[in-house]
Amino acid sequence: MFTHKLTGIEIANNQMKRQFVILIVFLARPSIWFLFHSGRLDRGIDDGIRRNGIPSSANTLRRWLDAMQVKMMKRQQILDLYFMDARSKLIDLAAFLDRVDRADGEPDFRLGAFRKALSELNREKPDRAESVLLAFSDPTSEPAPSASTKAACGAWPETA
Amino acid sequence: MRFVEPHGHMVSRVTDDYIDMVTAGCEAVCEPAFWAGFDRSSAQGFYDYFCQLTEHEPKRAAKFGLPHFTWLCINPKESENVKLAEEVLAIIPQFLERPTVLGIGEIGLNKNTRNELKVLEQHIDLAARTDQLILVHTPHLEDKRKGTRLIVDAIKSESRIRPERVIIDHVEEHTIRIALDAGFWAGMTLYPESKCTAPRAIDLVEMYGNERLWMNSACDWGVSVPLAVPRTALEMRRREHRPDAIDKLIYQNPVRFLSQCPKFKLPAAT
Repeated sequence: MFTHKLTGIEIANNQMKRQFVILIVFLARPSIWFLFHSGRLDRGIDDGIRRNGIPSSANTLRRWLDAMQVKMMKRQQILDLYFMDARSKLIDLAAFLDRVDRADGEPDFRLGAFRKALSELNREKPDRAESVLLAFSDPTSEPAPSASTKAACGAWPETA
Repeated sequence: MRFVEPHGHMVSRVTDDYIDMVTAGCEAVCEPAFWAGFDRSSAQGFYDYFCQLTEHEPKRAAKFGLPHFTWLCINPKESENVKLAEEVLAIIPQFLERPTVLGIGEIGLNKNTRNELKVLEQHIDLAARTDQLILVHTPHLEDKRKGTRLIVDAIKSESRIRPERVIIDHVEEHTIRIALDAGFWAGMTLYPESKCTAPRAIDLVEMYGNERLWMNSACDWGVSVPLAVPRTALEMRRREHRPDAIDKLIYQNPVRFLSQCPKFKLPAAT
């Protein structure tokens, strides 16, 4: 007969001792699984982000997001939720370009940057939002000598 | 629903906004020092502003049962004038011990100039010397990517600053990795016309997880929505995010970051 230190449960013989250990391991399975897998999943997602900007595989992403309690919808659900909104915005874009074309005026670097950004929408990789933002961005790395204005205009003047 | 508004310029808002925020579940608001929409003419103007942020605005918020905290600096939009910036930097330390001051912010760059960078480095040095948290403003639109890189390089070069005590705010798809990969926190600002919309902010959560992220409205005197955070939480519900995941992003995460300053205490936690 001995008494287990943590639980205070009295155990009569070695057979009961083995059964007690098996019971503890069985009850602790979810914690053991999480301790083992969370590190692997974190490393998987970190590697994926470093390589591609997004997790390397849909399965890795979904398992990691599950561990992080983050939900992702199915494609059909996303379309149900956002298709009409995106359709409306796309027509607005088309109407904006028509409006600009109907108007007289000098060339403007913003329009050139806009058309360059539009071309990013046809890319196959799922990083179009980032690509559009980069198409409008200042690609240089050195600090500017001084500022002539406080405001940003939305496009880098030398894009076009 | 409960949330913390970690970045709101409440001196620009009316009392109805306080009522709406508290009604929606806001449990604390944090106000970084900001550009007034016009350049202040002297350091004395900033002294008055810092008094407003540390004395008047907490009292105004308290009338609606809302704890109000603040961050101090000269905003990068006024940092091109280095002489004025240095005079303002000289008066900040006397405010840092006040009970609602959480750190130095929102510092950063606006047009990515040498003068702005020089003033940013002086703010970073002040934060390091006085062991303050840092809240970073990243530039707008075409200047954001370059500015974010310059800011991150400047902070990383200061060995006294621990990255987990810095939040890089206003991240978007093209800058979020720069902040997270360097070990910093990242903030997503929910604006109707620029920065992040609610669907895009949720996309970023789904792509990068919710460990070192928060969301804010940055409501100020421009086009902005003080209830942007709870509205985005509703959008997360539409996208079937779990209630505990939403709570983590809009309440637990800001509390976790801000609690690194011992002065950040919520009534429920004391």
